[in-house]
Amino acid sequence: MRKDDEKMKKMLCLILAAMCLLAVVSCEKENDETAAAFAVFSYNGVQIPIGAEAAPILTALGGAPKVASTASCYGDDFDRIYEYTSFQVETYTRGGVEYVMKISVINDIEVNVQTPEGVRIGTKREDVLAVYGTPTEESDAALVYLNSSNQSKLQILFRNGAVTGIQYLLLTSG
Amino acid sequence: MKKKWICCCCILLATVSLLAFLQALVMPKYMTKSKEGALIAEYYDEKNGHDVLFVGDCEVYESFTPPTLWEEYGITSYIRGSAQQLAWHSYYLLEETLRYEMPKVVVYNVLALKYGEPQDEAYNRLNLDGMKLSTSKIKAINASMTEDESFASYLFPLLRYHSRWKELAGEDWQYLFHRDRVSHNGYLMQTRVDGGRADITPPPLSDSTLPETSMAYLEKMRALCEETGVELVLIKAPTNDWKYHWYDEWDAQITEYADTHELAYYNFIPSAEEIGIDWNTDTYDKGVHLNVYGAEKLTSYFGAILTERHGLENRKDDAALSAVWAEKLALYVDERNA
Repeated sequence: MRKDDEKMKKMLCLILAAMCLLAVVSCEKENDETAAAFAVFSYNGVQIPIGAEAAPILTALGGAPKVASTASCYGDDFDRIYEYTSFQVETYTRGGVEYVMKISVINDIEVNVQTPEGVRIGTKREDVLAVYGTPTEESDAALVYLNSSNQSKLQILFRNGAVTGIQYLLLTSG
Repeated sequence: MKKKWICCCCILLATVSLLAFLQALVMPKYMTKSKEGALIAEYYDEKNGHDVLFVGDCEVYESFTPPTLWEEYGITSYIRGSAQQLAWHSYYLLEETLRYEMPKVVVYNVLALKYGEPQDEAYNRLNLDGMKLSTSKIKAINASMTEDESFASYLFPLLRYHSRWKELAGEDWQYLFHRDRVSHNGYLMQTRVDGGRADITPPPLSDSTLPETSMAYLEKMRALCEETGVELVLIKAPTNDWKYHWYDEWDAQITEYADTHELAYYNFIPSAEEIGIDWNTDTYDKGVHLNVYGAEKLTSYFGAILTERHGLENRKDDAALSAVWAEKLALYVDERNA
């Protein structure tokens, strides 16, 4: 009888441990999925993941009305900016390949410029919080959502409780 | 026993010499490419002190020409600038430089105050590898290192650059034991013209206040200058690109800081037209940096300010000094007209 009890205890412990492991794994997966969503902007059906190779995205977006490039203080690589009516895509170059480094929503002239979750210039702070949940960093001027899976962050800027800017940023380039 | 000691000493000496040789060989030379990497070390060849010392990022070593300042105003100057020189680099470089000389005015360009933390190892190397070993260098290394860097690799760069043996080029052998001069008292000349400025909206600011860390180093620079009796002058070069944009909010903060501490602060962005900068001809990279033609205009404008408002005197009647600067000016004119 005592042996049976011990066996049962061991069995229960094993089951509990397996359940905990499952819970941790599924929780991590859920966080990753949420975080990954913070790293992709889209415009007119074109997905713009932060850190992605820029060439196919820029082709899909069509020619930007304004383009500029800037050499870094040092080295041969150029950073470029493509300005569309209401948003900008910044890129960096490594080994001759351009990658998306930053996406900024700069105004609300184009009404369909918004995050895939529906946040746009003018959205109220409480609505942003309802959509994205608890931020990684918070101040009156900004809510920041870090995405550890691809070293990027979504930064939503506020003035007087309403969104004034939205930025997707790569935290490390190259 | 004596023989043993001599033998040990010889082996030790040979090992140290070999390591020193290897280190000299694999260190980047910055003579034909990325010349800005040679700027910091070049200062130690300078024999005389200076009236004005510039510290800061590329906006100082591309915006002011010491030979022009001498030619037009008889003011001696040196630029201890380097690529993406962050506030803590500037502070420790200033601290180190004040051990060699005591200028009347230190000019600091404020753009780099926007960075509150170390950015990139490559830039750290450009700022720190050229510094002579000193307590200032050690403190600068500690303040500058990014997460993946090691302190030892700054003291013994062989640890960092040993993998360069695969890419050694002719330059590495040619400049193994000496370097050519790449600058004119810290000014890195650019004669190319690539004009026009892109009309890009500056990306929105996430934080309108300058980082506490960089402001703390500005305060250290101010205190050091006060302690040593050197006047600190703050400037912002007239360049104002989308990538290196100087926001009005930052300008207001620096203006307030300067007012509080009774420092002069000259933001040259709104004065570009008055200075005579023509963005079609006076930049070599579409307005990000000034070329030599733009730098001469700004230097000429700033020289008048230094003379009239900061009491710097024309020292051309000093024959020895004039001889030294005549030589510097000739080298400058040669390169400019080449």
